[in-house]
Amino acid sequence: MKLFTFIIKKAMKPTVILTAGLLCAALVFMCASFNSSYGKADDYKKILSGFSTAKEGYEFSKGKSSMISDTGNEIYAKADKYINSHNNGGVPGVLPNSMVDELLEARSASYENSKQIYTIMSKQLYSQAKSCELISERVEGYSRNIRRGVKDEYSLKTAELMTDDYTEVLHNEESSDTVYDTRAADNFTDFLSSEIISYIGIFMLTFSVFSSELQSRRFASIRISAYGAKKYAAARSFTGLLQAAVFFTVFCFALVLSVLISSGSSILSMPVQYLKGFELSHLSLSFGGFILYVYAIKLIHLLALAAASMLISLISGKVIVSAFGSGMIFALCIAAGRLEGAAGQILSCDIIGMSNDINVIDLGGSPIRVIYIFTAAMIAFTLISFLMIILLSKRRRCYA
Amino acid sequence: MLKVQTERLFKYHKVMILVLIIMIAASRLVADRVMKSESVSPYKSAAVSERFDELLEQSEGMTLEQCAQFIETRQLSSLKGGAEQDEITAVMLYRSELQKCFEVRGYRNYCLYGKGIVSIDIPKDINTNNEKYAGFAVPKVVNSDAFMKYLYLSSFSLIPVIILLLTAVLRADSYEKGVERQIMLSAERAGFHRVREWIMISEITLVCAAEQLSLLIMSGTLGRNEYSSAPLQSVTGFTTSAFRGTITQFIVFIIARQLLSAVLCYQVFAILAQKLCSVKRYILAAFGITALMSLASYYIPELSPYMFASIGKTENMAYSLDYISIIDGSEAPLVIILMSSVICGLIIWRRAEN
Repeated sequence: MKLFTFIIKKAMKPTVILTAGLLCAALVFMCASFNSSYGKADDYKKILSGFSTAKEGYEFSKGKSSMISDTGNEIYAKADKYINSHNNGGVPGVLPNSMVDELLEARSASYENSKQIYTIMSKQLYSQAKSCELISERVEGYSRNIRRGVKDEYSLKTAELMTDDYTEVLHNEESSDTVYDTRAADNFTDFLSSEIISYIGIFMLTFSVFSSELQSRRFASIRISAYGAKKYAAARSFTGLLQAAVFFTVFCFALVLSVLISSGSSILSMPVQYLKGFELSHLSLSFGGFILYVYAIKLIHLLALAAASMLISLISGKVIVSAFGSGMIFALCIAAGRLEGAAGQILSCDIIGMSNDINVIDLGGSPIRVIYIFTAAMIAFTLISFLMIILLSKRRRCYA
Repeated sequence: MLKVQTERLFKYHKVMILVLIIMIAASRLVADRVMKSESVSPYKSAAVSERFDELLEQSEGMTLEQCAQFIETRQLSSLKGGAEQDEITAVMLYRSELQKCFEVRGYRNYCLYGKGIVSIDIPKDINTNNEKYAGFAVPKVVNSDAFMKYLYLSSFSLIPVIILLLTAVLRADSYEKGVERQIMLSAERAGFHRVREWIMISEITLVCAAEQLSLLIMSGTLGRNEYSSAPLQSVTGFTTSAFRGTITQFIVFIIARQLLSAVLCYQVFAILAQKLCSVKRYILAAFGITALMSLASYYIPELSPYMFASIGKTENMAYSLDYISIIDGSEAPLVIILMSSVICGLIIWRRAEN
């Protein structure tokens, strides 16, 4: 216990400094990502608060967006017609300045701002307005297949699994009638599933855990101490995992806080199906529950990577080699995002890919959720790495 | 001194050199494979590209009006004469490229003479940034596939990571072991530092040059003679770019920027290695700088030309060059001058410290 407390006290300072630094960077980049996706639509909240139901808001914003586009399209069509009709042997006609002024007006900042507000609003409210309908259609599709006498066992099992989930989802959605501003929540989900700042933090915390001790020969002194190599390795690895957990918890909490400041705490009770791209998600969770779900998934993934990084640092014995080796593991995880299918989703911790639709794979004729395989694989990997660190630590000699 | 240091490098760091070569080659091959495996390729097929090049040869030296007449005649004859699909596709692509040229010339004429817009796609800042568009050269029809492939392949350049590793092995390790303190006592220290610096910068320059040459060969850009006379605005996607120069000059700018970024990255990392005297802290600091610059250039594209240690998309950097009215040109010369000045300042400072 004394050893453990000593190691934790030593490890806290770098964890705090790193967490603070990377958190500031993450908040800045998340805001930049929000601004680039959603612009500075100040009137957005004011317009949204005027709708009593999501369907009303969706129909209105879609209509308004189409109307603004149509007005613009009329001007563009008129100009296009003029150019084509004055085409002289392949040389396009020159537009008169009055038409150029109209085109510039149609592309002006105020016009673009209005168009952006209603386009974003219709996309945001689509999930809220249509999710129930889309899920009901899907459930109806499953029942239709059964009535038609589909015999394929795997399809039937998948249909049964999804029908149960969707029934619960529909029940949750029916009891929710608030119109939500989901911009910050969508941005948070997109950012957290594609950000690499957490990987950077875990790498920096764990890449040299054992290699610096081996290279500086401190490990030789630790081996002959009362605790020995095994106890020390166990305590140090556990501390490394704890550092990773603390870092990610603070990181995630701060990002969630920024979402709550932007959207208000009522967003926590929103069904997850109201997020952009999650209309057909089988998760019967509120957004608050989804945050915990995402936090747990990402934490499991990061703990597995932290354990792997510490194992590499023990095996390599040199700081530079462990940096390179650990870096390769993290780079492979990021690059695995380009792979298609369950393998890519598991390796890169693709939260959106694993949660926004059916996401099952055929394992021995039964549909198994990808998320279960992911969780089992990551926990197994973490435990195996942890055990290997303890076993190898006794045999590890210092770098000579 | 040079012989000793070079021998030491190849004798004791063979594995590291091999790893670096494998890293560079692997990253380029992976980028090439990914590019070729795209399900919907934005590039022309080989047959269409060949036909397109024939049209370019036949229309060389013509004005835009003459090119329009030429392609109208070709289109009519290919439709009447039952030409192959590849030829028809090449003709349609030539027409759309020619249309882009007319559009760019239209922006220029509108800003110079008050009229000339020939498309519905007008830049929003055409009235506020009048001088930018007035300074455009008349574009030409070009086969831009090779240039776009070059930009794609030069994405995610691992040069900052390579410099990080090189500096860690050759500098940070020495500082941590206290070798530098012994060198400070030697009479040959000035010569030692000078030679070591030259070796490092030569290595980095060699790595950058080899990488860029391989990219130019792999993308097919080297054989494109028309790039030396076609303005950058002839390329789709760059029709409103502020860069005033030909496609070849733009490629030279990218290469120069990469080289200066690499040298600047080395200078900064060398200072970190000297000040921190610990390989672990050096890796943390250097990696932190690389990571933050890469993220900054991804999330805030306006900063990407200045992010010297970023592993970022070259395309993003290329699109982000702004127009500077004071110099009546793009940010490109500013980027080069700024980087060169910082490099000179850092070299002078480090020499004084040593």
